[in-house]
Amino acid sequence: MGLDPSKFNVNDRKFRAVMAQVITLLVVVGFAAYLVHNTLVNLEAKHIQTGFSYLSDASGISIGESLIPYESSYSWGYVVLVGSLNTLQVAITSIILCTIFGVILGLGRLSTNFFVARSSTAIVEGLRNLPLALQLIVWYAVLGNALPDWSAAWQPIHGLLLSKGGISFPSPVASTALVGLWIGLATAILVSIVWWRIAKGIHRQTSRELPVFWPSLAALILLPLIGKAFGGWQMDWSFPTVTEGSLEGGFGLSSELLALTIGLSIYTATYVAEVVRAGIQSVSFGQTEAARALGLSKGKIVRLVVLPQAMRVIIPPTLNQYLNVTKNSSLAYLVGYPDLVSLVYTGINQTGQAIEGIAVMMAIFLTISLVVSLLLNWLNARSQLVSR
Amino acid sequence: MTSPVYKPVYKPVKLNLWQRLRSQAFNGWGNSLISLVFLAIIAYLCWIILDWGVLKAVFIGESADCKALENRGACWALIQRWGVFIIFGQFPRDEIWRPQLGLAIFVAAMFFSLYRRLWWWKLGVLWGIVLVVYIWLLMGGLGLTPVESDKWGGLSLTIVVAFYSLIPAFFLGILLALGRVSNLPAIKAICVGFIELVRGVPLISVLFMASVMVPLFFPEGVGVNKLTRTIIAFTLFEAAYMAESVRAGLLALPKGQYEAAEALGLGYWTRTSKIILPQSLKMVVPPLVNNVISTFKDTSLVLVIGLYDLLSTAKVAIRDVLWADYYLEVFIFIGVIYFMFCLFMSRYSQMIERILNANQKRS
Repeated sequence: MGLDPSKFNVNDRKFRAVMAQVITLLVVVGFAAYLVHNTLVNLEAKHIQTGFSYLSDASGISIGESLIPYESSYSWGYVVLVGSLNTLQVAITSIILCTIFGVILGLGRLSTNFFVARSSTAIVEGLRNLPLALQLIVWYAVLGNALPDWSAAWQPIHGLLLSKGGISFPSPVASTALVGLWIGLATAILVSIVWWRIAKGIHRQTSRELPVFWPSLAALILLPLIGKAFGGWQMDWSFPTVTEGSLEGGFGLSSELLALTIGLSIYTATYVAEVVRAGIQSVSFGQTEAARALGLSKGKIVRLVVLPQAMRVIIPPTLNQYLNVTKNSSLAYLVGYPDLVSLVYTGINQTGQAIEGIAVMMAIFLTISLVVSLLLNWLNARSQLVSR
Repeated sequence: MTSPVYKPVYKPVKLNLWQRLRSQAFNGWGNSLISLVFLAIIAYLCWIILDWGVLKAVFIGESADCKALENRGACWALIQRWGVFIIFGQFPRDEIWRPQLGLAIFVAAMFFSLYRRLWWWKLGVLWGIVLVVYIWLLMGGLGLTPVESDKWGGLSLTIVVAFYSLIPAFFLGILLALGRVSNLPAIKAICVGFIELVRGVPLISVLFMASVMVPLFFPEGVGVNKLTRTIIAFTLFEAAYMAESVRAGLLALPKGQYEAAEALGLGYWTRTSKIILPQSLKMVVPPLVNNVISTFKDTSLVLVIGLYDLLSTAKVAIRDVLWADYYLEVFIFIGVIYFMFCLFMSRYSQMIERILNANQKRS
């Protein structure tokens, strides 16, 4: 056989498919190559150093707050680590808070009470329609202007200090009693989970129901106290006090962190509220009626019939919102909180290595998104209805 | 002879406000108590807003008049002094009628969009004309004095960034969505890669990229100004999100439509433009409007790269020492503007959704 003429026929489907892809690839690769070429020429002309070796150079910048010890002699790589941890801290706190506020607002919108439903709707609609950047700036301005200077900090109750700089409250000083308390708490959580699983197993096999809630609560209260007693009971607290020139002791949250966390979690809560509402409304009323006909109690209807079905609708978009929180935490730049994006941007301004800086930042965010989307896929696969 | 079938007619019971309050707020002790607590809080908030915002407020005057208030009332005189700057930025004052006229045309077009006779293609033509006229009024030329884009600001700039990036983003989004559902592996990989890359990173990082990296991409001398770079960044960013909205519509279209179009012997582009897209785009109007709303809100981020949008001009206004104490008034002012635009769009999308749903019920 010689050449098959149909292979080069412009009207042949396969030929066209291949050609379309080849042309698209050529255009994309060509454009990318053009950009890379220009960039290299420009970098050469501006004498900017390339490569990631700057990450091990000393940064020389100071950072307002850090979860890990930091000094300006530390490297740029370490600065990125500080920024990532700050971003994660804001993201995790905001995720927890936005879930709590969101569930309250979402249930509020479903309330049978006229005023509760209407006020929740007003809050959700109002805050959703304002830009997050504006909300963060307002929170920051209000916290910074409404409160006194730290030297004249407002102390509504002993040990709680409110000032422009943020909030400080007493923190426990490390002691054996504290260690005992923590060990007790950890044991209590473990014991509760194990007991819950055992009770579930027994219920599956014998349909006998064992109490779970009250024993767990008792464990959560008693075990830490026992642990504390073993540790010697005596616990010291460090109270924040205003001394000459500085605020010392206690545990402090800066007003930047507060404004960011409050603004971010309330803004996202309005989205979570809509998700929760849609999820609960997606369970048809027939389910509730059927459960009632079976003689289940009100609490059991919610816990065993409505929630498991609503959760299937609620979880995927909620995880998406959590991802949004993580990405939106980059607005920290607006209130001056040193998160990953603002530290990387500082780095770019100091070293001029824009491409490397942005590559590092994007890689970190993409990793986070990838992890969350893997989690999402796993959850979706798990909670999918088995259809026959 | 067939007997007539009587369908039960379900008419929702319409309650007036009084009946509604009786049945939904004051039924039983517990509910009444909750209602009273909420009523008290709402009344208190309304009183504070009325007292601070209207009764004790200064509407016209100088900053000295506001100082005399000692924060008991709002200082709306600030808006009288700075309002034009907040909405139109540094646009030359003797040409200020141009952005004013542009804004008026824009808002008028928004209300014209409510008019159902104009749907669908007539609306597209209308908005095409409006956007061209708007940019002509700002830019000048063709008989008007040219004004550089770094003089634009405030709400007029917010509109430019949001809507002039959305239109190319819409078409790019459609192409990306078609690429993502296509069965050509190379094209699919490029589209999936682009969409996921962009959706994985925050907008602020894309904006930083536009401000520090894009200048490196072009040869010396090819200067792309800041506004154009921002619009390109927004276009690429929004295209990825719009692609996902469009893709939902493409996937929701019954497979029979694709198969029928193919069975008629239509080529890919005819099939797509005449059969697939008209049906699937109608389905995704609400999520697309949501994309528009979030873009409009996201424009407030351009302040990080030094463009003077509505939020930035407001921040500049309160940098004035005389008026710095009245930051809340300024933020309320621009908050109301953002809110009105977003509320209009979200209500509009609800309206479209309702009408489309009603049209779909054919039986």
